[in-house]
Amino acid sequence: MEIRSAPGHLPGSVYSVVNEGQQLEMNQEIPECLLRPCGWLVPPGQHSDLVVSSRVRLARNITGMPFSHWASSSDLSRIAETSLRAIQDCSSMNGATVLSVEPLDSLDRKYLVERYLISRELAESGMERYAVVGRNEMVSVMVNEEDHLRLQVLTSGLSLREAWQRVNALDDEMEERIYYAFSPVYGYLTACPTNVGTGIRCSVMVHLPALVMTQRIKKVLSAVTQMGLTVRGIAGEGSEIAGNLFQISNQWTLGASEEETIEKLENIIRQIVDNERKTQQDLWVESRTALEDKVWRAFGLLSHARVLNSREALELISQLRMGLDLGLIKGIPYTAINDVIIQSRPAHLQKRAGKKLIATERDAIRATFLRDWIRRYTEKEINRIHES
Amino acid sequence: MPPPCPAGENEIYTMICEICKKNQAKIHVTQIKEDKKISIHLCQECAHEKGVAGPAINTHFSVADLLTGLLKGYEEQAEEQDLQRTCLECGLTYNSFKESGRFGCGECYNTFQQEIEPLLQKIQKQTRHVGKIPRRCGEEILLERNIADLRKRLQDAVNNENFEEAARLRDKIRDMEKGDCPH
Ligand SMILES: [Zn+2]
Ligand SMILES: [Zn+2]
Repeated sequence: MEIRSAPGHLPGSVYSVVNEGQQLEMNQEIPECLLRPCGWLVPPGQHSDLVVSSRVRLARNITGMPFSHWASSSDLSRIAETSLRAIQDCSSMNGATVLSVEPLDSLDRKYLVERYLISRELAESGMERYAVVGRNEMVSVMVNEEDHLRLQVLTSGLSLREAWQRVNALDDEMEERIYYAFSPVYGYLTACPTNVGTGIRCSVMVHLPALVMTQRIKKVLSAVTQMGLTVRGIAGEGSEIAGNLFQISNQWTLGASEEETIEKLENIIRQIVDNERKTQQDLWVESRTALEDKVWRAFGLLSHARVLNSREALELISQLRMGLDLGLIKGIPYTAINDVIIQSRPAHLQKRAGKKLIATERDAIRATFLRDWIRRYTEKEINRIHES
Repeated sequence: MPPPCPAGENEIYTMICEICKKNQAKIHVTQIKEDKKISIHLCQECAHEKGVAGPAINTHFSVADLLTGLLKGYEEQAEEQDLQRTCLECGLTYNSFKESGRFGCGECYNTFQQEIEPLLQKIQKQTRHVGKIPRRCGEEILLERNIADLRKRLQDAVNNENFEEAARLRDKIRDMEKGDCPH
C-alpha cells in the first residue's frame, strides 16, 4: 500500500490512499454524487408510511491513542491515517468518497449535517476530521468526531436489523485492521461514558401526526423515556420537534447486547406505529371533515404559497403525508416525501441555488421548490379535482 | 483541556428561571431556529404555566447535559485529592473529566473506575459489558463467558436434581478451565 500526497496538501495528512486498485477518492468540496437525492431513502422499508428511517451507529476508538478531543494535532493525523487506511481496505466501503471537513465552508458542512452524514459536532470542528461516505450514502464513517470512528448505516423504513447487520459487517472488517480500545469489563471504550459498552446508538425516525393532534403523544413519549429510550427532533440532539417527526433511540449501551437493544427498540416502535394508526382511524371516525380540511389546506398551501419557512414547510409536508396515510391524497410515494423533507432544508436549498441566501430569500425559494415538487406528482390529481 | 461537552451548556444546572427570575430553572428548551440555537431556561412552575409549546417532549435535554449534571452531584463527595488524580496515559484529571463529561483515553476508565461506577449505575442499564467482543482480543473473554454460562446451567441442573447433566457440565467446565478445547 502506498499513500500519495497531493501537491500543496498539508504534510502528514492522508490525501489519497491507494491499495490494490482500490482507492478512496478524497474531496475538498461536496462531490457530484452527493448532490442527488439520498440513495438509501429510495427503497421503501417496513412501515414506511410512518417510519422514515432507521439508523445504527457504532462508536469505536483505536487503542493506545487519546480520544479526539484530547489529542494533539499529530495524534489526530495519525488517527486519521490509520482509520482511512483501514476503511479503504473494507469491502463494505468499496467506491466510497472521503470528504475532508477542514476545507469545507459552513454551507457545505450544514449540507452534510442535513443529509445525516456528519454530526453537528464534526461540522464545527476543523483539522483532520473526515467523513467517508459509501455508495448510496447508506454506509458512512466519521473520523475524529468525539470518538475516533463513528460507523453508521442509514436505511429507510423500520429496518434496524438490516442496518445492524451492515454496520456489524463493516465493524468486523475494521477490527481486522485496527486494534480497538476495548475492556472486558466496560466493552468498547468511548470518550463519553454514555456510549461505552456496545457503543451502539440505534435511532428510528417516526411520523406521528395523529398522536400529536390528540395529545396522546405525551403519554407515549413519557412511557418511551421511562423505558430507557431518548426522544429527539428531526435534526438530532438538542433540536426541537417539528413536522411531527420524532427520533427515538436507545440510551443504554452498557449492560444490554446489540440484539437486545435493537429488539427492544423495534418492538416499541411497532407499538407506537400501531398506536398512531389506531389514532388516525379514531380521528377519521370522530372528525373526518376537520381532518380532510387540514390535509387539503396543506395541499393548497404547498401548491400555491409564495413564502414558506422551514418550520411551516415541515408542518405542511407532515399534513400532506397524513393525507396519504388516510388515502385522501394519492400518487405521491412516501419515499418522495422523505426526500423532500431533506431537499427543502436550508443548506439544501442554498446548495441547489449555488449561493448563500438570507432567510427571506430561502423562504421564497423553498415555496417555489415545493410548488414545483407537488405539481410534479399531483397534476392529475388537480385535474381530477377541477373536473369533479 | 478538551472543549466542554459540545451538546451541553455546563452552566445550565445552576440557572435561574428566565420568567420569574426566582426559582431554579429545571426545564431547558433548546431550539434551532434558522441557523441560531436559542435556549430558554424555565422553572417547573413557569414552564407548566407557559405550557411550553406543543408536546411534552420539548422539555428534553440531551444525554450529555444530564451527564454533566449528574457528575456535579458527586462533587461534594469527592475529596480534593481525587479531583487532582491524573490518568498516567493521557494526563486528564478527574476534575477536567467532571467539567467536560469526556474521558481523555481508554485508560481513563481504569484510572477513574472508582468514580465512574456509581455514575454508570445511574446512566446505564448495568455496569458490565454485554454484547460484541472484538474477535482479535475476545477469545479469552468468550471462554470466560462460556464458563460463566455453564456454571449457571450446572446450578440449574443441580437444582433440578438432574445429576447426570450436572456431572457432564462439571467435567466440561473443568476442561475449559484447564484451557482444553471444550469440544
Ligand atoms: Zn419561574
Ligand atoms: Zn486517560
